[in-house]
Amino acid sequence: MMKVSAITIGLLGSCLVPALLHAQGSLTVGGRDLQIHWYLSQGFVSSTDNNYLRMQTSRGSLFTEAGLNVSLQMTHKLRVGAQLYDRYMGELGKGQPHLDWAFADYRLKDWIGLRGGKIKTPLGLYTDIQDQSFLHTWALLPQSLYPADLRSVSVAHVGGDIYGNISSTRGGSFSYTGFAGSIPNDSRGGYRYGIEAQGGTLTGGAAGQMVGVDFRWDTPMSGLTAGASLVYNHRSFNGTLGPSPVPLSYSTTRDRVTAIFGVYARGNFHADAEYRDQTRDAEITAEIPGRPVIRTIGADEPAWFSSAAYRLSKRAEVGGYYSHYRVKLTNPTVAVTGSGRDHIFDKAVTVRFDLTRFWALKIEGHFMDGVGAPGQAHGFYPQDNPQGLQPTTHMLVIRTSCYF
Amino acid sequence: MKLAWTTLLGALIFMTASPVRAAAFKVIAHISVKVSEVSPSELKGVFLETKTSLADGSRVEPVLLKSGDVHDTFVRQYTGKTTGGLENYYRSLVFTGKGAMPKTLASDAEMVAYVKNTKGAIGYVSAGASTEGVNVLEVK
Repeated sequence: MMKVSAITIGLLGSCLVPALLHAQGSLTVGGRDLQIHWYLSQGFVSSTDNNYLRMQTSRGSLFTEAGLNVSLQMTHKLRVGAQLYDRYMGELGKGQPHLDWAFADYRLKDWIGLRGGKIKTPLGLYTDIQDQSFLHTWALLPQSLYPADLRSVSVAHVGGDIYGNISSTRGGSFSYTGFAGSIPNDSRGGYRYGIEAQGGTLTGGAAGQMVGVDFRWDTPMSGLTAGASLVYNHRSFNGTLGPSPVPLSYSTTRDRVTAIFGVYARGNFHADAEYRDQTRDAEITAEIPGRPVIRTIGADEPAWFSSAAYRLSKRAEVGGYYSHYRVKLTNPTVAVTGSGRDHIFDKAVTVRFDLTRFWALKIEGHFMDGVGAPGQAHGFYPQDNPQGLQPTTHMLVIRTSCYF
Repeated sequence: MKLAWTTLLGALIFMTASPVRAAAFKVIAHISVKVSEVSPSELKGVFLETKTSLADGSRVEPVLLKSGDVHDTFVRQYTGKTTGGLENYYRSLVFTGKGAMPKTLASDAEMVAYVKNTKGAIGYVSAGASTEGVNVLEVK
């Protein structure tokens, strides 16, 4: 029988406090506005047959996510802040808190500003806000584009942004962000576990760099926003493969992500859609005299989702989405066998209850076909499924979040 | 049993359903804001925190009411979002560090008092509220 920690129960119970106080998390420090915000999310997931997202979901599993941030408006143009993040999702995160973001934001003009530090990456609709489930109708975002196990691959960069917003009377408003920086290593994330799923062993962290742009257009048509993102990554790491002791290095020669997306919201109705394609080529080099390239590998992963939701009342919302992910491998390091190994299709339906202004509860059903490919696990890891993977998965997710 | 659960679910879903009633309002600003009128797109930019100044260079910050028909009408008309959607939007800024939660006030009187004493503040009150000590902006 699973145990729900008393601390989690207590924290969830404290969700009532902000609602009762109608308080705002801000203080005045030296004449400046200091804001403090936090969130806590507790979920339960149960699946048929396959274990998912590095949890023992076939037996029922709990997962937890939390964040705490502080920000200070130093001057009219300068803002600084930081956020801690923690999650316990089976083998993902394992309860180790870390710095989610911390940066200084200097806004020269409305059309140009600069940020420096660890910054959430604007890629597609929800990369930078994927952790805050209370912002979404869904208990789990469409995993075709927002796989919870691969969160750290794209969620943030350590570097800088240049950004701005340009508005016109009749053309709507246009915002842009150009960003570049390093990709932080995640020792408890799906990128590492995917390498291990192929028999690889890392001898250090997985380094990475990214550079990209994001554009969003708040169109003249009320409620319609469209956008596009383009990111170039470079990833590298050292290790061994299988039983061979030969030291190897892995380095991408091409890693490009393109995304186009749109949102339409009118009254109580909300719909969105996004298409994303990630193309990756890499070389595996033996770190011996001569440094021969022993293998070139590649993956093409087109994915998309579309969703719709309707708010029935102040307290309830219903919705559904279809999530579509395909993967095509070139010269994979492990054989791809079994059915459903080149796709994951997911149909989800959700009911969201806003119990108070600061407390939400979601009940969600998933009907999944396919399990992806080794190395591009997208939630289905052989480490968690030693008996083999079944081609379909049905899953129930219940998630409650409080935020302040 | 099935009827009982259906009835309970229906009651739960509709227990606080209430239609939005349109309410007349005025846009007000601190006297440091020199303009006498503001466009809908400028107002939208201010309340979505994409604009920190108006066309004449006046620095502005948005201030909102916490609830009520005036709040509902203003938000829907000038941000294109529902009040819940706008709150969600502000939270997305807060939890990515790219913006702050704006000040919210419980009544017209509190709004006028805050705007009167806060340089750059821009807010809204019901059409019949006293606006002594603040500028009233025409939206066009």
